[in-house]
Amino acid sequence: MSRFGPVKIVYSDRFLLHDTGGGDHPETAARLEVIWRSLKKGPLAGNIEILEPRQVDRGLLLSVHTEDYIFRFEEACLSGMEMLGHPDNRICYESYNVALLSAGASQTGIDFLEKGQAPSRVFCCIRPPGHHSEAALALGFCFLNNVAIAAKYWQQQYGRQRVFILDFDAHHGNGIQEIFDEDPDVFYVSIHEHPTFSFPGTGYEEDRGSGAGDGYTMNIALPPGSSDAEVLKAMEDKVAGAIEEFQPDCIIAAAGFDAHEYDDMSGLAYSTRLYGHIGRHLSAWADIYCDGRLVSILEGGYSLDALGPSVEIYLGGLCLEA
Amino acid sequence: MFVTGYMTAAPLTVRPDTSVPDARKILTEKHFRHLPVTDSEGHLLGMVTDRDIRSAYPSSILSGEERKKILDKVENSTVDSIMSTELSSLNLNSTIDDALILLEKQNVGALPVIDDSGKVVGIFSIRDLMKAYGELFGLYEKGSVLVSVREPGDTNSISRLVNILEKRNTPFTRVIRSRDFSDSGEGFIVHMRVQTMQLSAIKKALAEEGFQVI
Repeated sequence: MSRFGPVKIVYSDRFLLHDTGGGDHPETAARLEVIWRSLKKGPLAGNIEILEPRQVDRGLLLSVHTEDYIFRFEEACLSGMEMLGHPDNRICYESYNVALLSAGASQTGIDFLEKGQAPSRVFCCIRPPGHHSEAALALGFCFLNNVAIAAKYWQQQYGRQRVFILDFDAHHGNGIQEIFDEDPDVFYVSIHEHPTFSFPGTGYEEDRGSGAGDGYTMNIALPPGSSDAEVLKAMEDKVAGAIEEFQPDCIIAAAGFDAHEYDDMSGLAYSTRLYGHIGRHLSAWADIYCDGRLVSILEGGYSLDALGPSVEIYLGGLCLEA
Repeated sequence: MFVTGYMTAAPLTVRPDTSVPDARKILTEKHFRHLPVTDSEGHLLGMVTDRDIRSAYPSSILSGEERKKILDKVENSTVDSIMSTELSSLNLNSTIDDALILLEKQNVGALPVIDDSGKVVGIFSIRDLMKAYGELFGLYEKGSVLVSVREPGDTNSISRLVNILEKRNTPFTRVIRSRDFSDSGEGFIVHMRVQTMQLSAIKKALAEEGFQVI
């Protein structure tokens, strides 16, 4: 009998159609392919079921992004432009539609959890990623803020007001922070490489939210070279207390895997195993505080050697049955 | 790069016969620290700071009677009795470099900016200076990171560096060449603020060209 519970993965082959132009651009379709290669041959294979995503609802999209920006993004793709605002943000004709699907994936996952079916862990295996994009800004390979959209959906559709977001991507999720900066209902915690040394140069520990949202942003900025011990200590000393005090209705993980020691997109040096520990922490918190309402959404992770095993062990941690 | 682009233009000023309590009220209510004192046509006569005012008021450890005596005197004084008149100022052609040097040399928090006729047209504070340099160096541009390299000692390293960034189509703001002030340091370091998430690719390209990334 398996030690692992069921995992629903929201995924479509259409995510592979977002073409970033080749060359040395690291955000490629191969990322999702290596994830599947690991999952299909690994111990979770029999526990996985794929859920088909749908495009994000227009109204929901506009609760995070401005209409001008959405039109600009669509127009850029359809007119054959190669980038949106910056050479990092490469696009192709299909990118707009793929991004809508990527942003909508969490709706499918949240609906599944909320329909009261058998308890399960949900992972949105999507691209393009989202946590750098702001209301009217594409940045760092991100166009639509998938995590922010998921938080709004949970609030608007199911009345789950208090949303706790843990972002463990190597880079600070400036977009998520900016969108919920003044919002006391959404607690954003990010563990990332210190902004002095890392893109996008935001996420100082002094930034704790503003106005009514003061105290509802927590940045944990790790020096280059930081590894498992620093992350686990931060999770236990800081994140655990924050989530206990906040008492969330649901949890969203901005699941980035680029802090892995093999991933040269950051100076952090996490082991593969650390992602299993992060998964176990999140899983426990989801059961303790919010009846299992946890959705994980893929952000970064660019080492084609490390990404597959890292995601697999993370999901293993999420669905490990005690 | 001129102070006029960053100063507070047309600042609030007071006349020499303004009472000290009135000046204090302005500084407290407006959260200023520096108040230029001008004649009726706006020519600069002096500067009064929150520190000048604090020193004029009696100490809280004085006895009630002594305190009251000094307080009465302060309340009947005008700002010309406490303002500084040995003034340094900036003019319409001053650059932010001029301002940095003067602020540091005079050890003050702000300097008045005057036009050719000596009329006050602005005030330039250390805060304005920080903002100006922050903008100049691209600090506030989201998605930018500081990358520093040791120069290999050839003569055309700046052009080679810029060429690497331009060839990769990577936007950048700051390129500064400065002495290596570290203990072991000799030679020069070049600091660049680059705007890309693909830092590892940039660092690799720099290393391939012989630059040691710090």
